[in-house]
Amino acid sequence: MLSKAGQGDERAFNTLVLRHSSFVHTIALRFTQNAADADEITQSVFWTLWRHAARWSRERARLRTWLYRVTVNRCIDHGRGKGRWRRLFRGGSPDVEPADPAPTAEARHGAKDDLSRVQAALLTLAPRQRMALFLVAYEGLSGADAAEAMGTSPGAVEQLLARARKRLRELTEGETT
Amino acid sequence: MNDGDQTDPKIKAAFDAVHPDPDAPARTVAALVRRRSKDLLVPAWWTAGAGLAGFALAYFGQGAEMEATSAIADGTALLFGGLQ
Repeated sequence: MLSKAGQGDERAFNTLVLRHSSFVHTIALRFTQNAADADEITQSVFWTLWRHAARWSRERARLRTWLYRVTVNRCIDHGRGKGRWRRLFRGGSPDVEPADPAPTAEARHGAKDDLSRVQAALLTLAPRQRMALFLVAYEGLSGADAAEAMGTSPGAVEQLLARARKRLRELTEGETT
Repeated sequence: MNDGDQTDPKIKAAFDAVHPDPDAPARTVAALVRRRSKDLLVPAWWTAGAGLAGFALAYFGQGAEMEATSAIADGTALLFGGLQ
């Protein structure tokens, strides 16, 4: 299928998209908690695949592994891009890694229960911190596997996790009375 | 990495709170088809535009004696030369 797509066969490529895009979309949706952002990330991942399909058919690398890694990094970039726009309009230090500025309506109006409080807190984390947490705490990846997916070192993932958990504790415990 | 043992179930539940969208694959295919057709259309418009510009130059400019067909070919070649 991939080799056909690599030769420019659009129907073969569409079949590939139908087969694998749920997996990509679900990661993006869980990470961004926003359907429109998840759509955008999914399209961008498969557009890249379409552009590189010819090379893929020759290398025969594992498609899922590649999709996973590209999705993880697109999610992070997407969060960073949103942060950049926010800094541009509101001002702020360029040294601070931006958090996703698009909390859900629920998050904006004040979290009422434990779950929505954690959800809201997750969205305020910097994209790399949130991704490290997603990969390790949700997907169950080891630190080394998470590091590989994010293109960083296991030590960096540990640091991201520690900072993310500390920040989450501050945010969720600070709101309890 | 183990200081999150107590909070991890809550984190898992929070990530899990959004549900997969069964319509997403079809939506992705449709969006990519639109994007591919736009991708094909853009060079076609540029080619047509360059051809017209070449024709106009030849017709109204100093090279009014040039044949229109060669002007179109020149315009197109110019464009592709420039793009590369």
